[in-house]
Amino acid sequence: MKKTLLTIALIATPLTVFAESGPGCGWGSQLFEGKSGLAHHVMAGTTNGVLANQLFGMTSGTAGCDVNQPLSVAASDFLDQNMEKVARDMATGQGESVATLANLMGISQQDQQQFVSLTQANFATIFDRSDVSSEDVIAAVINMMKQDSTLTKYVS
Amino acid sequence: MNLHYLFLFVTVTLVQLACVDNSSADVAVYQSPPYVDQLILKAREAHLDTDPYWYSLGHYKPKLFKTHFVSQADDPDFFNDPQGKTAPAREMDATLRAFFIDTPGDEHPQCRFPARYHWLKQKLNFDNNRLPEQRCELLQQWQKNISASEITLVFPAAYMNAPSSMFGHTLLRITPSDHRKDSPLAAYALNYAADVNGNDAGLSYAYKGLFGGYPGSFSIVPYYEKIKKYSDLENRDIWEYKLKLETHEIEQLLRHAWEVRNIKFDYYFITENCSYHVLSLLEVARPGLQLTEGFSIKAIPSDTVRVVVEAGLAGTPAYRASTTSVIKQRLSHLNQKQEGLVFGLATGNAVIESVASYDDITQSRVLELSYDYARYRALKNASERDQRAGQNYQLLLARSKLPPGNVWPDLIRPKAQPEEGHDTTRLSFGLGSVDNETYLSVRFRPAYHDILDPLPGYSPGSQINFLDFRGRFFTDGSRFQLDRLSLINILSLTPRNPFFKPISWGVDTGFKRMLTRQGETNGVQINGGAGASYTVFGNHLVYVLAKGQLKVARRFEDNYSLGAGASAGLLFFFRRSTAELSASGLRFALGETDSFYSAKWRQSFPLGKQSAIRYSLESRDERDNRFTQAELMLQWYF
Repeated sequence: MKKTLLTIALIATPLTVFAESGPGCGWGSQLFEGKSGLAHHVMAGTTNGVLANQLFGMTSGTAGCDVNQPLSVAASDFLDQNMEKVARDMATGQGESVATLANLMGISQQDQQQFVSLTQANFATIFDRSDVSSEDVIAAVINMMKQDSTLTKYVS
Repeated sequence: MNLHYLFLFVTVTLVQLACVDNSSADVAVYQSPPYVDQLILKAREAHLDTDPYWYSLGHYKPKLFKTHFVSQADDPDFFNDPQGKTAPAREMDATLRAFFIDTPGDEHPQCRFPARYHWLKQKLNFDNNRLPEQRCELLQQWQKNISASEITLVFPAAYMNAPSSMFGHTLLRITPSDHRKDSPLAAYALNYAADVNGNDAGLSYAYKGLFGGYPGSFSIVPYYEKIKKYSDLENRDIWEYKLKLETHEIEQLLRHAWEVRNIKFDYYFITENCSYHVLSLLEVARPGLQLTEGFSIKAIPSDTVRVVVEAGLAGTPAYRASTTSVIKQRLSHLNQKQEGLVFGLATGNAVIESVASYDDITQSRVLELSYDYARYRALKNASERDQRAGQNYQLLLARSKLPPGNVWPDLIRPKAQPEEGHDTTRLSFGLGSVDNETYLSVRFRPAYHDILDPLPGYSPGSQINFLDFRGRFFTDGSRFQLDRLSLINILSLTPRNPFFKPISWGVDTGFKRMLTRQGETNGVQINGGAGASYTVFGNHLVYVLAKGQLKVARRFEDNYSLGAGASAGLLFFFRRSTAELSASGLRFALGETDSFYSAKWRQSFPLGKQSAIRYSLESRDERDNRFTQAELMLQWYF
């Protein structure tokens, strides 16, 4: 898995809309801002999936996250934890889950419709098999955005 | 850390003592007291140590006759004074002293108690030249990350299958102000819950839950986690009440949330529960709010929501239908053939190509609903999840090839919101006759709802009577009789259909008047049943339950009587009343033998929201005695 994540790190370049800075475990910021931090933050995002231990917004301290850092809801965590709902929304071309993902990725309100329509049109590419991982989904979404004149600004 | 404070406290106290000695020695030399002592004096003069808001911040509650106050926090870390739990005034002095500690960092008392600091600073006009303000980096980072702009009171409706959620639950949603503000799913849920030990079951669970055996604590998780739990797994509708709080009130609430983030409070299912502590938090948000006052005996979530709405803090809630509510409503928009196709597609008994003959909208509807229903089934049954993964993926793939957009009519909200239902305490007076003997009857139940109580705001066919007491006074002979005291009486009748197959069940335990071979006696009984119910004649309900009952009393032969049987009934939801026709039969074969048969008709008419009139007619056969009973009761809810 790590390898895939690193690949995303390389293709993902800064996205300034993510003002949410700081050394938290929420790696959404890192995904688009940082270069090296991505992999372990993705790890943190996914291995922290079980939230039972998360007392008060403190992520459980895996993979180098400082336990005292505030949790932030990031695009990757959200997708990872809501794959089936996001997939449903992308297939139908509307819905709260895909809108949330778009928001967390920093896509402005006016560009969200474009994002949602595009994910529907590219559904078969984004979800290319029934057991696709959330990392692959993110990678495919980013790839899709790069090739779109409106959305490319969020990933370049 | 505490040792550190203790040490400091002792040091400061010693220094004080020394000062007192000095000053008595040098009476003539005036020295203005240290700033900390000035502040303590000022606080006392302003009576801040008995200010209701100081009590809110420390979770202090009056004990009997308000002679003294004790904090509900059960954790030494919450206090700066070793006796802080029982001495709010000492705690204030110690808190002010602690603010002067000169070891900076996130563990500094100013950083650990930011809500106290904020309030005291305002009240006492701290001079930050003499009381240096600490930098609290973690706290600031946390506040910035959450960037709270809105607080929502969230009420997931009652969930009968877990004792801790039987009456519902409440939590707070914190919505950030930044790009996440339009995505409630990405907001935070501030939740107070018991840390239940998974190994406890049955009585030990109930006992610990009722009497504070579990520690409770606050946590923050992404709101979507809560949605998954309530909407998807537990199938509970959720009501979201946006709270009318000012920015500075939200900030203070968050500061206080930070103060209690790692603090243990003993959890009591009925009193100091999730809903109670949500109210405590709101009291800290806005000085002067007295929300918890009426809830020292029981805090039923829906009652606490009512109080919040009545205090003018909330308006009309948003409704978030549970997964099953959505599926049920949407199924009603399909015809029978399409329903069959949905079932087939979700269970792998139909092929996707068979939707092709329909128009785009219908195709989309069938595909979406098949996916939703398949997901619902997969959550219940993990093996189905793997078997159907491929098919479910194909459903979405097919849907993605149809035009985008919503294909469903808007969801219909329940007619009444939870806070519009009747209050949960019930007192009834009535008149009855059994075998031509007349009696006056009284009935009292502190919580919560039974199947005949006014329906708005509650779910049909569900009942939880907690500590239901029934007594009667026979006018002839002037004797009072305890008829029964039910500790807990639950009935959950949820209709089955081809898509959903819930079990209907009931349990009832408590003290009861019983008939033995040697005459009447009081004993303990427990009975339970399980079976099925179905919707009939539109919206009415029919049910059948297999039942068992154990009765224990000295007067029984071998002290007990154990039986089995069945009960069946029809529940009518008329426009102006609710009624039940029921019959049950039990054969007691172990211990003292006996048989019991009864047939009953009961009907209840709501008179406005908070009262009802109810009558019942019953004929029963017990130990070969035939009893005929009729009763008329007036009921008040408060």
